[in-house]
Amino acid sequence: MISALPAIPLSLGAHRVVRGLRVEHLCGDPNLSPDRDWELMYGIATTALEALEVAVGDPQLFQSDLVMSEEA
Amino acid sequence: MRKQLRIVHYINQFFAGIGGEEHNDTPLTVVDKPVGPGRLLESLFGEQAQIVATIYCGDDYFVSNEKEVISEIQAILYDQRPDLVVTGPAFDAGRYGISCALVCKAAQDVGIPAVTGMHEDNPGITTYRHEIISVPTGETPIGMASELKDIVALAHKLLEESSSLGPGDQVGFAPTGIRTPYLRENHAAERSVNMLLARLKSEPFSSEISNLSYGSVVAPEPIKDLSSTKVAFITTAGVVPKGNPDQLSTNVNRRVMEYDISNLEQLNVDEWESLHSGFKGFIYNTVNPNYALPLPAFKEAERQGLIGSIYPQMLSVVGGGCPVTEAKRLGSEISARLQKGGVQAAIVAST
Repeated sequence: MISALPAIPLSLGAHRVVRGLRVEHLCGDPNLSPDRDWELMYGIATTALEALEVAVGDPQLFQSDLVMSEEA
Repeated sequence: MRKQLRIVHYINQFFAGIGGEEHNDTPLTVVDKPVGPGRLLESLFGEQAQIVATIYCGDDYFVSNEKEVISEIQAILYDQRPDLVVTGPAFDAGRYGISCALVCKAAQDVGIPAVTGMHEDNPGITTYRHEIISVPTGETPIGMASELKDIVALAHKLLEESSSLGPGDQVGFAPTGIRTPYLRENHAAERSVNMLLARLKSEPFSSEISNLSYGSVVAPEPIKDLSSTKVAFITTAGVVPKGNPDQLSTNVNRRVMEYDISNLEQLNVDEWESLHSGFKGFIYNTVNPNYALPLPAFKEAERQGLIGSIYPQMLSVVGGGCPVTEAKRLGSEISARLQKGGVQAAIVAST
């Protein structure tokens, strides 16, 4: 699951949770240049795909490096 | 001479004997006598009661035409002026339970007491708990005869003492979640110490506030080889073709929509919109719907060989006004469809 508010699905037991940006723009950022925005979108999408290959027990948060650096 | 108890009964197309899922679009129909379980219901109420009308409707028809159906039903109730409305019982049928709850509300809104019956996890109860009086039933009609008796008993209590019915678990209906303060014999300090002592001694005790547990699921095994896996994509932002041709509701949605993305490279802002009424869809609807479901990124991943293939449909639900039990039902429906389509993994983009 990609979520802008990962604490919620994590607390409810969703096992593989990927941090997105904001509720109003989950998988990208309209304030960035088109190139950076695309990198961000691709980063979130591939983080989500790669999370499918990870063995998890308890709910786990996955996060693209690009998401970290864009957050205020 | 005993006053006649006039009752209107609401059921769905299945209990009216019309048919199952395939007759879900049966329009609202009225008959001036008991139908299906209504016959047993009427006889259980006894000689002084009569089901003066049975209203039945297809579950899908109800959900898709809710406003009109409710108006029509209220018009029928104005006409018939019954003393009581009974709906269902709906057991674990989700759409039926919701219609039963809405018909009860419609009756109550025009001053007529109403009771229904359904399983405690039915979305009719979990969504409208505060507003309806429902006998908790089993999941299937197997216990219907005795549950109809419970409905009759509850109806009598409701008609006799509606303003002071008492708590559901004592009177026999699903707790409404409305807490009514009353004076107790011992004060809270004593009650909590007694509860703690009982708990320490492993003796039974009753919590005064109950906690809902959503249950838990074991994490599925990881995908061994993503590059040969078929992946499906689901959005809870209610992404639909612009103009919402299928009239998906922006809130309290009960349907899973599927839209073909097999020939799309991305979602064009002129062609798609996000319906979810729980947040501002401005950016999705005027700048870039792919922020809701990053389709171009997944298509690129497919081109790069990161994933084997993409399920040809994008699944779209509206996350707003969706109680847990309803989400579970939608989730089961989605996973059944995806399994049938050979999908081994899915990503839900949830706003």
